[in-house]
Amino acid sequence: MEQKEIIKRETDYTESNGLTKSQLESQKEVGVSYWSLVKHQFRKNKLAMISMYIVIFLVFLAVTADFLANSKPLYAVYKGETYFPVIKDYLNSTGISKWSSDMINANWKELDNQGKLESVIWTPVPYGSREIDLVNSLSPPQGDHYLGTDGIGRDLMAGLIHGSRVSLSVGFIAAGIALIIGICLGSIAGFYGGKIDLLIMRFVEIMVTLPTFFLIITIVAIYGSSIWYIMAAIGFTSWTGDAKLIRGEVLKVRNMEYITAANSIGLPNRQIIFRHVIPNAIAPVLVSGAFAIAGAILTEAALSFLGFGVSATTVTWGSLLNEARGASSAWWLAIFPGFMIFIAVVTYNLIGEGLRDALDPRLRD
Amino acid sequence: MSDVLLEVNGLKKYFPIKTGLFSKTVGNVKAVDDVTFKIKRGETLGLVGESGCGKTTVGRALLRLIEPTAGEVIFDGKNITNMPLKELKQYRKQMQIIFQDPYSSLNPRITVGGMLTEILKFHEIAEGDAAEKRVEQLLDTVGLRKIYARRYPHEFSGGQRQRIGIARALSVEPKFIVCDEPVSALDVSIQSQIINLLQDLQKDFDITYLFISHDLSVVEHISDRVCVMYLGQLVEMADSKELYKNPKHPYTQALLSAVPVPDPKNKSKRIILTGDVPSPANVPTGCYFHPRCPKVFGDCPVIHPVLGGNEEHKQSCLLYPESYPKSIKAA
Repeated sequence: MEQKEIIKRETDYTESNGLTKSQLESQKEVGVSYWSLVKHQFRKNKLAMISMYIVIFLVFLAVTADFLANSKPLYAVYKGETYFPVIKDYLNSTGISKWSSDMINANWKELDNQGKLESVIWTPVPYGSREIDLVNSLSPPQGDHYLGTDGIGRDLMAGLIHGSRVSLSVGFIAAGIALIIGICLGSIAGFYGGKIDLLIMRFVEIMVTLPTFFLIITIVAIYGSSIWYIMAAIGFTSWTGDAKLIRGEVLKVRNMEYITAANSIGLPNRQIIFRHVIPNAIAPVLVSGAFAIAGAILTEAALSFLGFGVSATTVTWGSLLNEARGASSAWWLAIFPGFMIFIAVVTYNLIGEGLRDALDPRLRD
Repeated sequence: MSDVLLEVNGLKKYFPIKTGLFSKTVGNVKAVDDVTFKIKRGETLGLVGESGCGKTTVGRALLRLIEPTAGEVIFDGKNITNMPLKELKQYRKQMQIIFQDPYSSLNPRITVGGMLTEILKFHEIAEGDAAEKRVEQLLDTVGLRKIYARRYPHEFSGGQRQRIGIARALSVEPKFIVCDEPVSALDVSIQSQIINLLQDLQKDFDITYLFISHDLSVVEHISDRVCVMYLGQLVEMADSKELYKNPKHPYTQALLSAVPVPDPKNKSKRIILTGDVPSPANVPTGCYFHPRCPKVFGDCPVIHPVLGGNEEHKQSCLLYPESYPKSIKAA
């Protein structure tokens, strides 16, 4: 019994893991997960944190675009009745309500100019992205047109705000498709090895040779231009890097003793792959995912710039940049959309780099 | 119920060497070459040998973590060598393993409690609150605090991690545990704690061990019987006390002479082995040990000895007439 007491006495001390004393004390009860350590490390990288906030801001712009730039007011009182035209448009699109017949074609701006609205609150940018105003075409930044207008009088600021929707969704969805395919095929190849690995990796090599850009142009030529085709085409052609990366990681993780331990317990392969292998192999793939978002945004912008991208009625950063080609004196048409693309690509790259540093155990102090 | 828990007959594990474009097999690494032994219920069998002699492969092959090339493993009267994986599941519950490296044997992304609960749930031992209680009980058994269940492996020291590894092995209430060098990665002071813990658990839960190690003094302390391995084969097998007092095989004698004795006046002659361990892909003729053996003689490069002798002490060395193969003995 005495011997047992000695064994039970705690003689080992927890390693500090590079956390300060107060942090160590505060986590006595609940353990610190790997991801909370990564978060802690990521927060220390100022550039990555600023990029993170910029991305959050861009997402905010994209989500609230209709409330920031719209040809209809947020709130108006007309003929004694109160209207919320922007919200009303949302409800109409879901089929909950309908404009009354006399209001369906109402030009709110004209009504406001004529002083018929008793009270009105406009959105911060009082123009929609597709609102054509031929009188004010190619106007430099002035008055209501904060960033000027393009060749057919569309407001640039409104275009940039609404264009962020396309750019961000292309980035996330294309990178998401690529990640899912890459993780599935890569982990299967790495875990099972042998002939399965051989087949998948040869397939990857075939896919690598497909030129994404020309594939998309071909798809657009055959099926017509749509944002969904572009997302899918970028996603289905850019997963190869992710697959190779995760295969390599899985090959490494597969030989760790905790996988042997899981085997000795008798756990089924599916459970071993999803619970034990992928969580340990995914970190570097997330880094490449951040870079992939930037790449997809750039590809979409390039396609739209060439006019192959989205349909003519959809405004994207790339299509706005395209406008600058026809009007070389209108500097604002080149500078502002170009700057937005630049900002988006740089921030995602900085986030990717910050993630890579945060995930690197050697840099942890 | 027979008193033999595990029987290993003619176990072989060859790793093919493949080269070229079409992966042609040009040879085999004979990691384990015809190993036969028995383990009785409740005893500890030590398995010692140099690095690369196939100790670990034996341990893993008999748990079928590596599929053996040939031979059979009989556990509790049942041949598990060719058993389909579905049927094997219930035997996984009875045979467990403790690993050498406590740093790579725990999944860094799962809490200790999460890992143990997963096992308890999978083997339908306990779920929900009952599982939580069982986890606390297991941690208590291996001398860790209950609150550690919510922590991640990187928050523990090597000794604590090894205790967690032991708790994992115990969670399914096994009859037999392969201890694959469980203390070689630990500090000496922690080593003794873990060894004592293993011995206590053996008493409390009636567990049989196969204790693999290259540390002869540790093996002497914990084992009832000891097997000595060289190049994938057993060269000597005896009761622990007998082996350390009266080693018969020149290889065992050389190993034992290398164990440091904490007595400055003791100047016993150390037997220095010359040359390197031959590659298991290209083994010497006759006795595998003859190129390095200090007592080599005429028959050694020609005749391959077999494990012979009485039940208490067997050896495979041509210095002893009982080690000659039967066919040659007759001649």
